[in-house]
Amino acid sequence: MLVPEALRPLDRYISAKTFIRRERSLGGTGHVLVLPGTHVEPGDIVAEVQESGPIRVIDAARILGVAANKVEELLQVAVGDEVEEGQLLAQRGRFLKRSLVSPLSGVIFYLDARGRLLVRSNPIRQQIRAILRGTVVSVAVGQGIVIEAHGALVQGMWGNGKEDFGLLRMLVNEPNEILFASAITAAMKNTILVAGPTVDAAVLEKASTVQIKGLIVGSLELELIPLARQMPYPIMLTEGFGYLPINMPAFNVLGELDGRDAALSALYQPREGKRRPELFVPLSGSTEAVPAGPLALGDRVRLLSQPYLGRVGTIEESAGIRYTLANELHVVACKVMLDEGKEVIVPYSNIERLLP
Amino acid sequence: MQSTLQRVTDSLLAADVGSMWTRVLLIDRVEGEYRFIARGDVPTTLEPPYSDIAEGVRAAIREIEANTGRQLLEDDGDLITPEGVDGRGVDLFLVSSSAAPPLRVAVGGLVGRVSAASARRAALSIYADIIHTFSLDSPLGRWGHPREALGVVEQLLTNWPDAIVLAGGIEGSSDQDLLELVDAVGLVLESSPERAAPTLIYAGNSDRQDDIQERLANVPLMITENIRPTLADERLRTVGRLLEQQFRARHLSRLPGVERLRSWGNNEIIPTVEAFARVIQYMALSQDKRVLGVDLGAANASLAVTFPNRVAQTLVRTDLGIARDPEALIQKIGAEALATWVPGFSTPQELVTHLMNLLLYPAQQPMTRETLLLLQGVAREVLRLLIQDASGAWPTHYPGLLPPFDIILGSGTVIREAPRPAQALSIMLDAIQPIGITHFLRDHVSLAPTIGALADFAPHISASLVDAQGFESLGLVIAPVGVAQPGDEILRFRLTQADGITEGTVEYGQLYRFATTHQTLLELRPLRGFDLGLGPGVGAEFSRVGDLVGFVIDARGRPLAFPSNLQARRRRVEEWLLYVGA
Repeated sequence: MLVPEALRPLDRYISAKTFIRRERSLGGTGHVLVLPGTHVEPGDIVAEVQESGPIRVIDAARILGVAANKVEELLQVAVGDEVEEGQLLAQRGRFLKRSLVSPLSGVIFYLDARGRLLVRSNPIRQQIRAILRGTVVSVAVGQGIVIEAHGALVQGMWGNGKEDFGLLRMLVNEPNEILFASAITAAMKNTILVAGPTVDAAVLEKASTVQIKGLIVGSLELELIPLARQMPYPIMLTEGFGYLPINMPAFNVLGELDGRDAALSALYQPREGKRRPELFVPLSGSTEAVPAGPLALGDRVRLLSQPYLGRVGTIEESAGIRYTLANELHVVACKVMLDEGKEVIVPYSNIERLLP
Repeated sequence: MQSTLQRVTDSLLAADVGSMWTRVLLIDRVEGEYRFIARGDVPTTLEPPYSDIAEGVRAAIREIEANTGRQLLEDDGDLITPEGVDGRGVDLFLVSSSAAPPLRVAVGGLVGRVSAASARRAALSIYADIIHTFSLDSPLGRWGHPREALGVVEQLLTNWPDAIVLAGGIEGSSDQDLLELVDAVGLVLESSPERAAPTLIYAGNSDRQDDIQERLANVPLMITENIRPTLADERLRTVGRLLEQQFRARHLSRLPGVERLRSWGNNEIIPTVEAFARVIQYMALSQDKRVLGVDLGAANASLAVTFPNRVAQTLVRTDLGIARDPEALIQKIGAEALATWVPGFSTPQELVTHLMNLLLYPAQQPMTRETLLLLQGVAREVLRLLIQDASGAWPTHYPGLLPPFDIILGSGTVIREAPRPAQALSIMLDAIQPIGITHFLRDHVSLAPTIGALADFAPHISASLVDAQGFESLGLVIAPVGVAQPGDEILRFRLTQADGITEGTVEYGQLYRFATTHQTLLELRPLRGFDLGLGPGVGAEFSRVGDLVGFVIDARGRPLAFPSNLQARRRRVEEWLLYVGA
């Protein structure tokens, strides 16, 4: 017998109407620019982060050809001063001049007893946008904010780590329809496109050229993953790798959202779906969050592995069935009626629940 | 202390918190002997929304309660301890864990393959990621950087470590170059007083200690014995211990929820690999054997090994955990190498796609035979890389081969849950390729961390659990060493069982299995000077009963030879699986 805690299935939202709270974390040194209660639009800048740049060490004593203790008096700048790339820092000699210039723009932050200077380049400022339309519900100073929003949510399996927002545009009429590069036009600038089971490199590159704001596709061949990571726009795979059409529940919800403002967050943290890529479409009207309990009869599920990878069905028996698979492995399983009409027994660990 | 525990400990719970699974075992005294009673397995609750490892431990204990009908937790979720007269609760609670993030270590030495390699090995005896390696002879330039020691300063300032290990120079040598690196490290630490100082360990030539102390006068510094006092001698233990202390202080003791667990048992949480090493050490000492233990986990792969008159050595490779970074792992293994072990996929590309989809959720069970064999193939390759990394420093009389081991213990999900015991055995046999006579065991209920955690302060319980066959006996493998052509006769054997005697010869290149369901006597006589690990031509006899696989004679030679064609390789592997019963 297993206890409910052990039976909590993986949850994946494919929901036409829900309520979410999402953290916008600084992930570095920076500050939050909004207060709790602020209404935010996707493009609003909610925080600024300063990413530290590279550090260079300059062997000033050696370059100037002087003893270490002479460096300080030759320096035309002091520790703590800001310097520009190429700026003269020190000079000696009247005829055969020896000069010391800064290799980068930044701050001189240390001079050691051996006459070595440390220059830290200016931090790179990065702005964090809200991405979501919603309300700031909490602010952790120096760490990040939490935004609460109501709307539709479609979660996927893999993302390329980018995020952006734009108008959602379905480019295929059914999950199996293939999108070709020729179908992508300049008119699609600033849109988030929904494609079919997979796309090729030409589609990825053309989409980049016309400056789309995101791409949702069922799957990608593994060899395209490095290219997908390089693309400037977010890419969400709803199913995984290879050739897999977008699952029907997700495809239907995406179809309903065609033409609406959407935010695509393709952040992805591997291991047990701790952080899933997701598409969010803000919709008016409030919804309460319903905490999901243990797996129950009638729950909709998607199967995660072969021979049923990507199939969708309904839980027919959820109590822990002790079952021996064809490969002789003993598992705790549940019974699923696939939408195609076949009944299968699948280990608990190999399903994800689709939350409406 | 020990006698008190002997008197009071009737029952105990031992939790092992892995990066993916949390396992709790209930051990109780039955007729004077300690026995494994029940186990609870739940996903680890380190990440949001829980962010508290105690939640998972509780859920696993609840599972044990549900299975045994015995109350172990109070209604408020705290552990009942000690055990009451009504049988509620337990006397002792122990925790081991491999879930904490690894220690970030920079290692530097004069020569990449000598002192820097030793420093790396010392660091990898615990859960560590090597983030920088510096040596004078690095292919990337002096100190591994075109900007030499100044480059080291820039690297360390950009990617800040938890610990730095500096080594170099055998005892009595007069090399001054290391001082350049010491000086660079000094600059790093002096220029950034606002950052949490890394632990700095000097384990090089002891003649340089004074110079180093002088140059790093303002920096917290630990000086230990030379990790490489001579070219042939390596002393990893002290540095390993210091780094382990750092790992405990910086990462293990900061796992969310660890305080609550500590309050239940008054015991420090111990790293799982340390517990595993103690089991191997215990088995080696109590039975006077050479023992190798391997543990293939989700976040790391580790091994512990003992040799006569030496303490157990460990190697942890965080980059070889099957679920940590599947993409990088597959790249390390190579699709072609993996495809050797797995039938049923038309191309290596198809196989890798299948594996990547599976590892999007690594807690999944393999549902088909192909997927099962695929994961077992990954386990073989991971184990092969692990052994390859560790074995360079192992003492052996057989050039190019491993030293013989008396016992090999396998742990980790793929080995533990292989539905056929012969699959577990063949994963280890194919990957480790031991020589001589080896008894293969598997940790089928995940008892090793518990036995190890107990070994220090309640060794009588450890002993009781090991003696009570806490590990499953897979079989006795005999792998003769020698030179022959495929098909040459290299051994004569005589098998005596209740129903008769079988005699025959063993051909080079083949794999044989004899079941030991009933008492079985196997007599072996080597031909052509082949060596069973006892000396060329020396025969042996073994009597065994009840092993899950039985006797396996591995006459395939070392290293295993494979045809270059993938289909031919797969056919050979299928034959091996068939012969051994996998």
